[in-house]
Amino acid sequence: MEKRKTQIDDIDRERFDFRDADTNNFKTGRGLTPDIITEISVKKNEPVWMLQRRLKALDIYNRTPLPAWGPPLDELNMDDIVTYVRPDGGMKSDWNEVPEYIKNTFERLGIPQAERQSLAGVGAQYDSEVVYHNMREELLRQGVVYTDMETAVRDYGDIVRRLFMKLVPPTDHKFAALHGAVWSGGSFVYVPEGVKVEYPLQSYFRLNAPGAGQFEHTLIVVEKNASVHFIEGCSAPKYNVVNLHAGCVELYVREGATLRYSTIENWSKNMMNLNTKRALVEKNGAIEWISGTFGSHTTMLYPTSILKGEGARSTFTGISLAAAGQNLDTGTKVVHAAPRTTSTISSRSIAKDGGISVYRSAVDILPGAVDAKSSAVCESLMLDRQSRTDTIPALDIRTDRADVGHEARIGRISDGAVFYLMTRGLTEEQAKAMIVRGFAEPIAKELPLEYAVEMNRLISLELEGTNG
Amino acid sequence: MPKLEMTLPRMPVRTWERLGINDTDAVIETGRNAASVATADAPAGMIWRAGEAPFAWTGEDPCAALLPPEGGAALDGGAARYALDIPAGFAGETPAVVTLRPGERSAAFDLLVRAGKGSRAAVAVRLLPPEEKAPAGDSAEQGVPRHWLRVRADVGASASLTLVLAQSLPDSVSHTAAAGAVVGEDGELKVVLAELGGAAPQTGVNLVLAGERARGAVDAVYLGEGERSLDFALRIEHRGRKTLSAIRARGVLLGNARKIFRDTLDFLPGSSGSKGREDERVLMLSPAARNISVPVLLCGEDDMEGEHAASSGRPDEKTLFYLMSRGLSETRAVQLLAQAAVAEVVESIPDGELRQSVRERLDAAIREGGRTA
Repeated sequence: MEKRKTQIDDIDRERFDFRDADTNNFKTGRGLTPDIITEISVKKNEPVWMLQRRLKALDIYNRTPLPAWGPPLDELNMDDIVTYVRPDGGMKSDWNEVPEYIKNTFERLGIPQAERQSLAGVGAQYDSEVVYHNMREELLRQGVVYTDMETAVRDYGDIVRRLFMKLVPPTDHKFAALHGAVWSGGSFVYVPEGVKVEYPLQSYFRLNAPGAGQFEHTLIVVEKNASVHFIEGCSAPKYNVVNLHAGCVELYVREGATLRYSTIENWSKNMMNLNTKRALVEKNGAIEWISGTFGSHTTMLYPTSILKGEGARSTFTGISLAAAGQNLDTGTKVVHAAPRTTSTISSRSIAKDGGISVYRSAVDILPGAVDAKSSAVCESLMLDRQSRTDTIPALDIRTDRADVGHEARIGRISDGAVFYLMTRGLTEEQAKAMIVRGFAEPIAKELPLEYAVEMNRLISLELEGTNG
Repeated sequence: MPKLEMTLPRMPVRTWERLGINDTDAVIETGRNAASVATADAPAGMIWRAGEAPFAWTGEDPCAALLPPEGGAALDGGAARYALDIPAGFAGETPAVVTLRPGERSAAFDLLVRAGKGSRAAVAVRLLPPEEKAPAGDSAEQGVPRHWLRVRADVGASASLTLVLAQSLPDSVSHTAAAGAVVGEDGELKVVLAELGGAAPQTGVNLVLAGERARGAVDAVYLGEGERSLDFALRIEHRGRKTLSAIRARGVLLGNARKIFRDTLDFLPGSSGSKGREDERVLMLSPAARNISVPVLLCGEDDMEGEHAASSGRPDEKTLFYLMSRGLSETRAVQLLAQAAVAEVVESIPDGELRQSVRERLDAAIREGGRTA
């Protein structure tokens, strides 16, 4: 059988690659100085304790070196990044009140329609601020809180002050410190004990200004025996200058609670995506990470689960597609710190047209994590020899009473599998399409349906026979 | 004697610094080899030389990836040099046994092995502890004596070589080994590692499958007990087309032992049709032992197949109960399960005496270390 190259179309970005004029209500200067930090804090009318934390984070940032591992970050020059861009209008709870050009942006992205059809609540962030927030009445009656982070700092200060950047401290790494200094926007979610939020909450982040950074902070607390599904999505138009995303997600899953956190990341190819996500899971609680990484020029993203309570669980399901000009360094970390904790990792990646896809993980089983179980399966598909895919897992096991397994495979589409399907009457193109869809299916089926309609349009699978 | 302190690169691609696996520190003392002894019990037809090698190593140094430049230079200038030349066409069932015994506190051995075209042979290298105690005047500040062994093998076209590196040193000494090889077209190299002793053994292996259809394999059995700290960095590089590789490791950890096992399969662009597999299984017999595994797959070629697997656990309780219900003590039952766990690698050691000594060493460690309930 003649070997023919498999072709997968690039992600369809046309619907995201539109840009609004760079008008704004306020924009800081470029770079990172205490004056800029203070200016951001003043504009937000923050309490003094938050400004103090920002300035301390800036000091840590200045003292912390760049990581000596991972993809190159040479193109990032913080002196060229505008850290705060405030759009017109302020935050609204009615789409009709959102400025027209911003509303049009989100209409094109399908956000209002999704809210009407299938979501319990929506937050929409444009550049550095949340411009729209709304939630169903029934959730308000149940005591669910879903608001922007700035409002949370003012109205729920006791919780925020106690939890904000405690799970991801500024000392964690340089971009955590950067985030601590310049964070803006993001969501605060609080689900009271026993409340089960039936429909997902969604936040969408749109970065419009060229050369700007987005540093949203998401803080979610799911109290005992409660549950919620949170979806975040992001996109930006493509520019010739670097944009930076250094967001932070902190999740607290209390005893018996369940939190599903889904992300579809589709930043443009000038974006440096250096995001930090971490969950702390208590007794019998569960965190489910669903992660789709399709965009950005460079991504470093490793959602981390700390299984603190007995019986806590973590599942990670992720897919990435690295095409030309992309270096996607993704994976996950799990810390088993209590008995009978379990973690499951399932990761798929595809690399094409010179893209670089790296799976990087760390599973730590601490001495007290007796009867812990961890399993990881990682599969990578290479579509041409211009691309690269690397798998760099690390297991650190400090008890004899744990069962840990890890397996990974890298390869191309199997000629044998194609031949078998062709013997069943499929054409070669149909066979390859089925195989690639099957490769991505375990991940795709976990994606939220309302996002799947949009996300499934991202990947257009087209297989044709071409020599070479 | 002057010491050279250096950092050994252990990861082909660096990762999170907090894991502590990217590098490891090492100390080398060369030039104290006067009383060191290296003997070879080699079958007729093989040529064993001490001092200047009967052939010079030309071309790429496969150990360059395992040592910093200053480390390689120190060994070039100060190690005791030996060479084993296996002529083209040689075929022998009996392995050559090379015995290395350091004569003083520290010693460095540099061994070249050339397997000529079409030859078939096995070489077992045993590192024994020094007979002499440390000279007077040594103090605890000088640390545990460390011996160095660098082995470089050139496996010619269609040659087949099995290279066994075994050590069962007491905990009063330690060693660092760097073994590199280049395998030619249709050549085959199997490296068997038996790391059963020493205070803090460091073992690096780098096999370059340069020729088309070259095959490379590393089988490793290791034992961690007491306060031992084992550090492995194994790498097989696929360069030629249709090359095959396999890394298989079986280990047992007792006491407060600590082990870092890094194994890498690296498929370079152009290695189309190549396949490789890594597989490590660790039997944990102590709640205080620490097991770090880093199975890495690097891929710059689409027409290949690579896979890895790593697992860790303790003896199955039901199996233990069954064995004990048949009259075995718990210690004996654990010994049986441990032997079973490492059997497929131990069986690949060509020297019967060495196989038996590995089994006895493992039994003794379990008997002495016990298994904490």
